[in-house]
Amino acid sequence: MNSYERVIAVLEGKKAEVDQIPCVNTVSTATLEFMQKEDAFWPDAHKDPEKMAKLGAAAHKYCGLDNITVPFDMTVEAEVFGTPIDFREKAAKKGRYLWPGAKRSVAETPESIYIPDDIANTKRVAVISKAVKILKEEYGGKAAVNVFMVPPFTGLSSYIVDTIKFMMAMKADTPLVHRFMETLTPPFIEIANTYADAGVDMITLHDMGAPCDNISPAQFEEFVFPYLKQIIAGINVPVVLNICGRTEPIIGKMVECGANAIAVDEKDSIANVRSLADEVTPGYPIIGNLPPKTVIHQAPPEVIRDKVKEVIEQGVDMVAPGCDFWIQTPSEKIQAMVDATAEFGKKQK
Amino acid sequence: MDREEFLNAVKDALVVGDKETCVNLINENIDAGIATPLDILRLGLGAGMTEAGDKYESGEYFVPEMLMCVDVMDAAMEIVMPRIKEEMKKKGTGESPGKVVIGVVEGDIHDIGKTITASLLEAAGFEVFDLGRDVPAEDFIKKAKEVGADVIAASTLMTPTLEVMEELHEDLEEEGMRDKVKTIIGGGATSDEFAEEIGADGYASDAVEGVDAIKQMVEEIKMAMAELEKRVE
Repeated sequence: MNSYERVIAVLEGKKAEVDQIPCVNTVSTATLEFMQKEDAFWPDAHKDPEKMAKLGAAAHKYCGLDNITVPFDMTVEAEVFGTPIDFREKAAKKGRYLWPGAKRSVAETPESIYIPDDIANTKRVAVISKAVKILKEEYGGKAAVNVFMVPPFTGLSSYIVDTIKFMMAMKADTPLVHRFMETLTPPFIEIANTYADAGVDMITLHDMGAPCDNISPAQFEEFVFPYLKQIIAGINVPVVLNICGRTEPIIGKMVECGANAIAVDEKDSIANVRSLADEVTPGYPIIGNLPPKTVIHQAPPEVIRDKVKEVIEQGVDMVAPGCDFWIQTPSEKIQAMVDATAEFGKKQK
Repeated sequence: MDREEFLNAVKDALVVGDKETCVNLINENIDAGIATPLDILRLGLGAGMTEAGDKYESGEYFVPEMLMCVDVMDAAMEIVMPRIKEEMKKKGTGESPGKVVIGVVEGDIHDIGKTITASLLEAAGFEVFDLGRDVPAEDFIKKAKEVGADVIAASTLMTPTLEVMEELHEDLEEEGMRDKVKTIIGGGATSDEFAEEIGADGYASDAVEGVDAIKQMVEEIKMAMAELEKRVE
């Protein structure tokens, strides 16, 4: 089996058929070394499909990661819905590569959110679709091409609406929160399916604003769960639901969202996540959860190796960092994670 | 209503996030002299924020609940603070425990934790200079110089912006300010190890811990100053 076949088999619920646990990263795989090797630096690689494809593929090309992910930031959807984005051009000129952010939040009400008519060709949706097509041409059937997206809850609460106002509305004006979520859900699905039409193999929903560090399990169930469920049902390719932060109390609900797999970070142990997920759907695919900074970036390869062994023993179905690669991560560390997965992730036949 | 009942009612209204009740209570009673404005701040509002902070710590409250309390705090402070300042002027005392410059570093707009921390610090009597979010390293330093800050508190949720924290500490060193001001970092992407790595004086995993750590730092500064004065004598 090759990288593509392994990843897709796990996502399609056929993990018993996989000869080897895959090693992936469902969110940003960009690092400084990859930017240099591919001459694809931020912010250009956020906007130029050729550069985006090159930077996205680098972790697969140089280190053998089993998937490829584009884009590298969290503001694509917010930009589509009218939020002005700072691509950190100034910092980049000084050699500091910061993540794009919203210049300001613009939407006061759901009605004031800009919903473009031609979503497929709005802002960077077209760039990402083009990057997917480029990647599929070169890596189709060899490595799983993944687009990570920021679902409405995180998009609204972190970028589109003033964070404090949005979070307070969850206590003071719950219908307003639902109207916001209802407004964004259909166009969000449309963006996802634009990537599906472009040929993407899988989509990751990175709802990093929704863990229990921020909102209560009850709030997750009320404001996040029904919309994620609707979104996942509406997307025409396999979906991974990725929430970083503390998720133990909502693992069951995350599984019930109906994605093909869930991805978690290091705040919870894989052993716990495994048993909580199994209570809802035995054997449900779990992706995770090496600490991107303290282990993958900073620890020596032996520690990475031990950590990979540990998560595999605890029942992970794909080894991955808990979140984006730390951009200073040396390539040999990513290689160490991939190699250790190959070493410990062989399935006994 | 006696003093204790009044202060408890203010506290309880804040804890449940009931702005209207809290503001009305204060407005109706502040001039009657049941409690001094400083007592309202410390024993009513401050105690309420501490209780809300405890609930947050224990997992009973989450960010939306904390923000409701912060909102009540802000509204109540608008009534109470001018009176406290007036009193302080009259007495010439009532020194704040210290000055804190606080902000979310450049590249990050996640400022909830910072906002909660700033409110808790104000509730504890600190003079807080809130620079907001997306703050470049040089702005922290400029403000700290300008106001003679005791502590710089910087936060970030996202990992790529940790570099800015590193830059902040390097710049403080370059400016010859590193021993004049204490630093503390916090936010989802930070850790104890990272604080040590970049030479920050402290790390806090949440707002409540942050306030405790800052109190401790200011205490240390005062003790060091007293020590120094003794030696001079």
